[in-house]
Amino acid sequence: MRKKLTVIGALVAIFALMIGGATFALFTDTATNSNSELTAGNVDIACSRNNGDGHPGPMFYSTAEQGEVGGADINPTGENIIGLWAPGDSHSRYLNLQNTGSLAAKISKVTANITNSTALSATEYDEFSQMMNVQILYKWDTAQEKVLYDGPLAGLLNGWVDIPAADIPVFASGCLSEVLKFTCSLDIEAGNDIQGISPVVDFSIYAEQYKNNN
Amino acid sequence: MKRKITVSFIVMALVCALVGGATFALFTDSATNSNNTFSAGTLDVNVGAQTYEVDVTNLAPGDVVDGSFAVTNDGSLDLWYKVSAAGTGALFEDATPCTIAITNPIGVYNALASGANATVNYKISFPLAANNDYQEATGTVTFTVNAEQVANNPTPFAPVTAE
Repeated sequence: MRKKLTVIGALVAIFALMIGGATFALFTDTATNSNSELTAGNVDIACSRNNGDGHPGPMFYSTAEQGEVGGADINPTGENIIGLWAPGDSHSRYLNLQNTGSLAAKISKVTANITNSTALSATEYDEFSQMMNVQILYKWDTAQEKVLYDGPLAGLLNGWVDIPAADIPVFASGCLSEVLKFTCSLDIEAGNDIQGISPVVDFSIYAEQYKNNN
Repeated sequence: MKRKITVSFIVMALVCALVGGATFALFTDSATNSNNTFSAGTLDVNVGAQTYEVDVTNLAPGDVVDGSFAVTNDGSLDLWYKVSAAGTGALFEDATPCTIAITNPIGVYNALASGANATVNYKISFPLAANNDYQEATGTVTFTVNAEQVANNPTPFAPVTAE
């Protein structure tokens, strides 16, 4: 009798557990939106000379050959061949800037580099970089004129130079025809040390995202 | 306990540095216009030897000798040139010395294009009034040609003013 009572008690306990278990086995479901892709934008600028010929060559060249691109048969228009420089000479050329990235970009720094410095003596390098003045303007001759740089070439040869905050141009995404004006002027006081030399200079423009950075 | 606090501070500093770094990790790009070449010209003037139409080793008072020499612009830039002459030696000294006059070109300065040449003409006059003290005297004529670039130089050979 005692054994029978024990078995009944156990069955009651199991049944109670089953009932309890059923109480907590709720219907459930989940839903996922898995198509929310996040894509980062990009800052992507490019430049090309704007000498009326539409080629991506140098802005400044003394001979037609120097203005060619990679030795290709691209002859710059004659009127843009500067010829040989003499102290006191000043020439302006133009650079097209394109913002092909998806984000607005601000032009925040500029720099330059003499790529054939080993072909120059220390005296030639110093005299040329001190006596060749460089001015870079945006929206020149307007009330919105911005001076990106105005000083001797030497000031651009030691890395990126910050553009004054008030003169930083901002280019919208997709703009293809913003133009910078470069004016190079060889000081009338330049001495005989630079006679006959041919320094080769790269000019570089640095862009940053404008969004969240102004 | 003290070490634990130190470690915490280091971790906090690293977190701050990471946050700070993230603030300046902007999207950037750069573009370069390459191979701009600035070829400077040259200024190179040269002169040829002096030539005379007569023998100048046996001059007598009253002689006038015509001479000339060439000036060449061997540089790549056009130049202004200015000729000056000087005589040294006994023939150019004392009471009645020989004189030198440049007859061509007549300008104070003249232009000479790159690669071109010009002739300078001059006269050396031995005064008729020269006395016997000049017998067997000698002299040397030296011409100096100074050159300056034509470009951006509307007033060549202007005196340099001290600043």
